[in-house]
Amino acid sequence: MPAAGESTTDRREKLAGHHRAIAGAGDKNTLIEAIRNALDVSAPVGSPSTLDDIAKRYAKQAEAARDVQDRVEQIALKGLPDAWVGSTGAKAQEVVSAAARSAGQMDQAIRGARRALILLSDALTTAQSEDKGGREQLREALGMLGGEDGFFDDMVEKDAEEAERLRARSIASAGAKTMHAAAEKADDAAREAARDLNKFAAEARAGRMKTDNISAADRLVLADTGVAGGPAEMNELLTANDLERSGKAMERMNARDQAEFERMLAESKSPQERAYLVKALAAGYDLNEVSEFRDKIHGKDPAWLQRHLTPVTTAGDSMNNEGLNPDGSSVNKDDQAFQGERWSQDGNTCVPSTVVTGRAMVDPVYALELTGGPSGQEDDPAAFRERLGNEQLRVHEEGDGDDAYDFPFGSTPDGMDNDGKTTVANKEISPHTGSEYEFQETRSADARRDVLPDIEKAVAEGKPVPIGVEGKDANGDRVGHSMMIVGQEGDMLQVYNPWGTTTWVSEDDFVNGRMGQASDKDLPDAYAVHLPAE
Amino acid sequence: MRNRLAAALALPLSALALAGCGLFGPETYEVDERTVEVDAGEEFTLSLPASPSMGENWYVADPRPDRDVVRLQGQDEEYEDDGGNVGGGGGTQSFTFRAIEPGTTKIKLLYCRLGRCNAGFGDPAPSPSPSESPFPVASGSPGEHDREYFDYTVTVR
Repeated sequence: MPAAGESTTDRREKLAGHHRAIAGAGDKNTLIEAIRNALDVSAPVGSPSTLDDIAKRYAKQAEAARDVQDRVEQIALKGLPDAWVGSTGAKAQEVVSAAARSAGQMDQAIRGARRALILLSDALTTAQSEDKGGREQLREALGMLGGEDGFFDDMVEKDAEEAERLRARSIASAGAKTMHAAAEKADDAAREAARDLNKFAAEARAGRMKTDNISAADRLVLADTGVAGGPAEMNELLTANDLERSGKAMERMNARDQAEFERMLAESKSPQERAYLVKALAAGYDLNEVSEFRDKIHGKDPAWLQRHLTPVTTAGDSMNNEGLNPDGSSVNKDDQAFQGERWSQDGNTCVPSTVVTGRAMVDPVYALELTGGPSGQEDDPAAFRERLGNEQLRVHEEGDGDDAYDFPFGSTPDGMDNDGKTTVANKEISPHTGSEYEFQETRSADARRDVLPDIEKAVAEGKPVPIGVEGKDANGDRVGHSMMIVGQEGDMLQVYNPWGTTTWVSEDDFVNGRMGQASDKDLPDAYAVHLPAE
Repeated sequence: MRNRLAAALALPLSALALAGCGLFGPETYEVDERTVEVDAGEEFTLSLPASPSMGENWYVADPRPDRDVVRLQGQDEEYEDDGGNVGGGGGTQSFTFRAIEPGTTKIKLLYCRLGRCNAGFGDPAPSPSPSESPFPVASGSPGEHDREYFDYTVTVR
């Protein structure tokens, strides 16, 4: 009987093993057992016709979304009075532009989802057909072999029997290979569809903010606000998780606090200022803390706000493939810096440095403490560097990091174990995203392939995913390093390295030990991830 | 907290044992020994701290040493196993030269950390681009700047 609850990845791994067992079976009984094991793996599950039906419905909905977009764009083109329409100060023009972009994104999302389902349906049809063919070959081989040998039968094998066994093995091996290839197709297609659908779901962002305390128009503008310094669609200021958490926080407020928060939003001088206040609320701060934060950022221009409150921005050309440097790193890397001073590690503190930047990405109040100092008004890169270094040391202590003793006195940080990494990620980042981190080893290509959908979902929602990479020298001595996945587009992952850079790597590179592109050739293998829980 | 005192003591002791004694292969010079005196025909090694997790790398930079005085024989890279840890440990990069004829020359090494040089191990060292200020010449230990030159003076007797 096929095992219940087999994932596409389980099937793929099992069939790879059974194919090897069949090809290497040295006697009849071993071969029969290996063939039966392969037949016990379930066929690719799913109904292509159901998927096709859903895709057809999506086609109609995409047409409707396109119609909405056209009509909203017409309104935007005609020009609108400079009037305030939202309860929190969103201007009519901002709302209409956000609505047009939102309708456009909806159109794209529905079309994208339709395409994802059609591709999945096609791949599933092919995989099921190939799997069937492979199974027929296995059954044919079983028929040729007959029943299992008894103890005495096994003692002597005539030439003709051996020839027949080898012929059966050859047929069975071809069948298992076909089944494995079909399983690979089904697994890849399922993962690709899951990745795309998760991304589209996370991009339906305005709907994540479930509160009636601010108007739908304001929610639309908030979800549409981009960080200065990069294309808006790659630098959304509020993540899906921010929108969800801030909506819940507003629902929990009493009437007086609600009115006060709305007043703060209404008095904001830019959509970005308004969105950062919402982000502070999403990060878990109470109204008094948000109010203090607001006093520090009120009236600042979008570039100041980006520089002080958003450590990582994504340049429009950052995904271009410009090849590799001689050291194995990607040519196309972006420095992530405050006034020229990078968000980078000072010493052997890659774990604390990863976590400090990770927290600053989700917690703008904390980011401002590091960039703007106690007053929040500083713009001094040297002072930022000193505060960042001190903070990395504090988190190093918090995670009980190792120290190297400098002869004769003193010590410097010398790495941290993965338990410490879990501790500091949970103390520093989790309180501001609402998701505890769990450590997961990924020391094989299959394990890394398996964990990709969870990584994609986490980063699409705005939760950074710390990872561990490692490499070995010619003697087998090993070194490890910490980095963090902070973005995803299509089949590409955006990786923050605490050397102060971000780089896009393909998921294929992540799976197959080519992570040196985000660091250098010494650190190719992503051996572990810290995944945020649901 | 793992105590690395033993390793800290072992390193200077091993440096004492190896530097300048020449008992076990080429004479080895640590990063703070930038004056080298050797006899013609002998080999010597410049041994440099290079932690992979810190993105530290060393390159022989221009101007290259006088080929009539010394010649590069080979280079090597070894990690210090971090025992499954993250971001600790370290490593060593080494360049071995042969002293050819009596004379004096300079070996200019470029140190880079946090992956700031992008060159391959053994490739010519990157030079500052026209828009960059020149990299400083180090007077102390590596790490004060992301990119800095280390000048060695070699006298072949």
